[in-house]
Amino acid sequence: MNAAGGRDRSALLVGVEDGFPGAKLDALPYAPHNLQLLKRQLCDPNRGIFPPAAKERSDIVRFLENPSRDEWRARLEETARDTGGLLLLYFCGHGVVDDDDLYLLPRGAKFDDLRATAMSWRYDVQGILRKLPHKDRPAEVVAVLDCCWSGAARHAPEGAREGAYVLWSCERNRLQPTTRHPQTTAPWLADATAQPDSGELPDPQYSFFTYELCSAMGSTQPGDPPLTMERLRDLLVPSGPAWSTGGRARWRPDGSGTGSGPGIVISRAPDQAAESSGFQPPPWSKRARKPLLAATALAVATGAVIGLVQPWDGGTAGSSSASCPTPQELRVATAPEDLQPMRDLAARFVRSEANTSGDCRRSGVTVYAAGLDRLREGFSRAGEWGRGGAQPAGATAPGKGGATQTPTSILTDVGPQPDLWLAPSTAALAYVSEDAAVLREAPTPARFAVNRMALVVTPDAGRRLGLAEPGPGGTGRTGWADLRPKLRGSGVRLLRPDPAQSVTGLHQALGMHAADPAHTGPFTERAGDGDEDAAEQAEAAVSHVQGLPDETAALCALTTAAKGPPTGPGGALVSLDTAERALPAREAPRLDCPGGTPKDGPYWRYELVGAPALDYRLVRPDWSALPGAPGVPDRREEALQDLVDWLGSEESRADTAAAGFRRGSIDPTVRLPGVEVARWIERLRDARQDLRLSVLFDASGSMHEGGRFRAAREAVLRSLERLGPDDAYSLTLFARGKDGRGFTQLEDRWRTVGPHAPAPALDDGLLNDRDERHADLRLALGREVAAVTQDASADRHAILLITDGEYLPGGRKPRIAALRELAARLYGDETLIVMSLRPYGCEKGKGVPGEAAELAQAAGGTCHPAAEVGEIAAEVGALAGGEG
Amino acid sequence: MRARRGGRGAAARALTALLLLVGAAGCTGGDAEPSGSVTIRLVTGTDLSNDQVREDLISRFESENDDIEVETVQLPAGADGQRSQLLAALQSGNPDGYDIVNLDVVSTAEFAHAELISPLRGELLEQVTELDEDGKYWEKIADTVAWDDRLWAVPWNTDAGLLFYRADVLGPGFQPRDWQELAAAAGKARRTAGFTAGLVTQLGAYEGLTVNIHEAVWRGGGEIVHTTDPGTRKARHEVRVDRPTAPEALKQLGDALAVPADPDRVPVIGAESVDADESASTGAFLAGRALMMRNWPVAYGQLFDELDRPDSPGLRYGVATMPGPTVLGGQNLAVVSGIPDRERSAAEKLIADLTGEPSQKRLVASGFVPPRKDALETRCGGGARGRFCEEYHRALRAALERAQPRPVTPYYGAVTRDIQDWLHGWLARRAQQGPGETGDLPPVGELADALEVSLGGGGANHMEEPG
Repeated sequence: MNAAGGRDRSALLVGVEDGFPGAKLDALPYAPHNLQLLKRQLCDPNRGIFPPAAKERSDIVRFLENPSRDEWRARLEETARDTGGLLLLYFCGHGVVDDDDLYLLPRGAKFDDLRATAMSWRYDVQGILRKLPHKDRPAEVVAVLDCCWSGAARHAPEGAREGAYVLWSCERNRLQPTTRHPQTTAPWLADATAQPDSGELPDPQYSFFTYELCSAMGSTQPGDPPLTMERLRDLLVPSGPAWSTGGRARWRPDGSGTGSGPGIVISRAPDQAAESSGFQPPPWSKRARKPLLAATALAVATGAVIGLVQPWDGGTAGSSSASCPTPQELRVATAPEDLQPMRDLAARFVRSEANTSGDCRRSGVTVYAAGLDRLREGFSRAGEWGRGGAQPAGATAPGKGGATQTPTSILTDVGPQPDLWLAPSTAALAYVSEDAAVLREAPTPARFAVNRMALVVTPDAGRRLGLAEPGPGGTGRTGWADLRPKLRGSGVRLLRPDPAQSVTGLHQALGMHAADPAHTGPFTERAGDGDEDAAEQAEAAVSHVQGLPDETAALCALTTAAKGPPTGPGGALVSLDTAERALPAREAPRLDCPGGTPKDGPYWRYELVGAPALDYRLVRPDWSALPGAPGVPDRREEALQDLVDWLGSEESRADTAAAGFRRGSIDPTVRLPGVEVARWIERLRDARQDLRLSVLFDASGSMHEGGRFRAAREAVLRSLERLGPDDAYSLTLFARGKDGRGFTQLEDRWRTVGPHAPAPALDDGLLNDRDERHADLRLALGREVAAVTQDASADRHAILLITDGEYLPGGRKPRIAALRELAARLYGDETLIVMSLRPYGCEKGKGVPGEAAELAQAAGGTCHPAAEVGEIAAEVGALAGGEG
Repeated sequence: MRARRGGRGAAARALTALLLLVGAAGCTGGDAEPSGSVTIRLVTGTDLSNDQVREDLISRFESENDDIEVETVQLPAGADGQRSQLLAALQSGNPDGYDIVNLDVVSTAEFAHAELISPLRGELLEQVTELDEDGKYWEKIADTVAWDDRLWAVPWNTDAGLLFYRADVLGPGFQPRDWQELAAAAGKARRTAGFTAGLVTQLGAYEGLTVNIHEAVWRGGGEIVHTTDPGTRKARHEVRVDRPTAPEALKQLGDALAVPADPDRVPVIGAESVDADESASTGAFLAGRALMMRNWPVAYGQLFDELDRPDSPGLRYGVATMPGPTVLGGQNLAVVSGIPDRERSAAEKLIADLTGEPSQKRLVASGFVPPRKDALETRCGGGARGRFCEEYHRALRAALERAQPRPVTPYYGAVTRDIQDWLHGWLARRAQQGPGETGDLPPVGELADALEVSLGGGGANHMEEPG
């Protein structure tokens, strides 16, 4: 245990008596007395953990009174390096918090330069210990802090080889009482109820916390187990009025440990002969001690159970192969566009010093992606999230568009309950948090990074819009004020991520809105006719808008559209979320498109001014705000705070930049004071043209197999849930009958979704018998294409085709060429979304017919395998929010 | 073997203690049972079976137990999200009242170490102990439920890697004895015939890569991590990825990705595998781009479906075992710790039912692979589907007999992340290189150091993963 030539254990007791009049911090005359009191307890012949011999004691229990910062640092490093076993650190003096770090004030500290003149808990105390070579580090470290704000230390000292513990006197956001005694003008050290009748304080004086600390250390009785740090903490945790000071301020001791820290012994039990010795409290504090003594009695009573084996977050179970506690698992939600960068960043954090304590990792991090509207839905039903949110089978509930639908599980639809959400912007946060108590109660979100908007266009679209060619590898610059008038009538198709799902779409739409020539001044707070007009005008400013779920889908669509026939819209224009990642100064993003990653084409790229930049925020949902919810355990809270701190720290700056996030402040090109984002998105939705969705549902016998029907049914119901109140749908079962040529119109054209509209009664009893497997796909699609191209009830149509492949009598192969020809009639005007339930999904090649992939490609649409139910619904949702 | 005996010993001791306790409780007479029904909450991933067999089994259980209602909480898709939600929820004090959790086999030790789940007791303990001692579980399955000398979960379903192949090209009964034979067979795939790879497998940066890395090293005679006495207090992990056999085996895997000089030849493993998961692998194989596919048994049902298509009469599939041991997969059911006694008893009753022989046979019929040998019945018909079915069951039994678990450690999440971070980038680069290029393997010593840190529970690791 002992380092070569080092001591087995040492204590460094630091007391700073000085006041700081400029900061209105009084002198603390009790500081030197505290050191003596604690030393006496540590070296008590019956209970102390340090030897009582005077010479030895003075050597290993060192005092440091009113040191300068340099003296303190040097002595700390020297003592730590010289100690192989337990290092005990004690501080009594003034503490302040700056930049979420606790600063212990030495002699001569300057408030305008704390970093250079005070002892930073993070960089000086923790830093010195961390920087020691592993072999020179103490096995265990205990820190006891008696100062204001000391709860900000909350993390046990790092760098100990086996474990550490920190005990603090009050919460991180609390001042300790500084009220002066009315007669003696000394700091008021004890509870008013504990004052001696004479009204005078004893001499010497002690701080109330250190006094109670020593009192608890001296409370062990013969036969008791040794007093561990965790037990000591339990004795000191507020247990009633003892810590109160007339309601003005409170001490609030607490502690935190890592590894073996909670089990570190701080005081022994005396043997029988020595029972009478021990801590002798001054008479004035006896009344204040009562609750603590009661707690001690309870501890003794339960000592047999608690014993010396301290459970620590599940315990180390005595297995030398797994001595670290299971890391706290942190769930982090992010936008789909930011998924990979955040995963990279989280991996860096997990392996960093900031996530380490006593050679153990504190936490692991899982990052997942969720769109804005999904998060909004999840947070608005936060109380149901952990239970999935689904009703018992067969139950129904109002859907988003007012239709009665079977609700989906939040866990499956959104993802795990996030401990941290990387909100991509203030506007996104406003939209998601509108009905979310757990977000409203959340701590103020920390700023994380910023990113500007960017734009990518095909050369053809660029020319039509009159944009200057940026040149190979170059980045141009344009803005919504110029683009907006040029878009209308240009024949250029705008591939826009859905503002309700994607922050990219949201900010691009806000930018377009702000570029309204009639728009003068900031957005208003209240809904009004003017705003509705503006939203409509923003939508009408472009001839062709195709709504897509997110920026990645928009980029994939760009590569597909660019390969399309020249008769379609002449080009494409895509909005990207961040200049940091998308512009050519950096490597182009790797796209996970249906059918594989497309090659980067010769696109023109621009930084886009006129759209508000993204200002990422780190949002910590307060799950404990839910009715009946338990508080978040301290260790989870601390682990999460570690992650948040690290993401905003200098230490992570390089990693953050490498992941594609830029630190810095925003110079907003558009100011958005008081925008009611949710209302604005609603108005934007209202302003778009109505959508007619034709659902073609395969009823052939093979749909009974492999969970196909269930997946298909879910895709349909979740897609219908995304339609707006003025949209409508039809639902046709095809491939009915033995020859696969029959139809059943389950829902006529056009059925609206409304508050009282039941979900379509899709039941597997509607399918053919299992052996009736034929499906004439060309007949079914041809009928629907004819219907939608002739329908004049709305300007926008889409077909959602649910297919298990074309399966013709007589072993004939699917008619790929004919299917392609049919689908091509939709290109550029209507949208085709194909859900392929064949095992080969959207593959095509020599081994499979690939009907689904061929149809989607010919129509310029998309194809999804059975597993992509959520993606299908998101795509329908984007269509419902965008113009075609 | 010894290790499991250790676990059984502990299990037997625990069982004895429990029976004594039950006996004592029986003498007291006790209070009357609380009236009314009890609701228990089972948390699990999506039921991927053809016919929602899990829901059916639970419904049947409820109908046979009037006093117990079961709520199923469906977890997010994907193993990472499922583990994350379960672990975080239980570490948060179980605010949503989970009673039973369905854990991936690699997660059981993690939850047990944190005591988020309860050690088995009573009938469940007896059931698992007996089945293990009687050799009724497939080899090594009990290792996935043991930790710290105790048993913490009941195996529900299992998995092992299989080699699917195009029987119409390689002929029926194809069975490579080693990697060289598999690589030689890959030579029959030609670009002119539409192939882009001899073998498609899962090398995307997720758990599938960890699985494939283990299998590659094992078949080369090496180990990533050697564990003695797994599941016991004496368990020790020794990182061996830096010993000569492991780097050689990894190089062999990398070489398999190299692009051949002959433009009509395809690599043994195609570049497509570098981003592929199970679903993408199946798609590529069904699309005719690969001659062989490494995948889990779930792919069997999908291939089986495709065999009856009249538009591809010549198409034939076969199933063989992969050369060398494959990774043992599967899921275990565990009772959450700290739940009230009534819920715990009801949860134990449900688990006993779901893992009992009748339920296991029902699960087999719906495509699950049972952990109990006696539940795996072979009922194959005739024709091409019948032959495929017989080959499948033969290969599956052989694969399960020699399947090996991944490291049983509470820090498995960090271990698998290390493997993925260190090796995925290298494999991706290797897939872009020709046969003459060396494609230097990242320093395995650094990977070994990283694994050492992770297996010890963490600490900072400042090494730059080569990515």
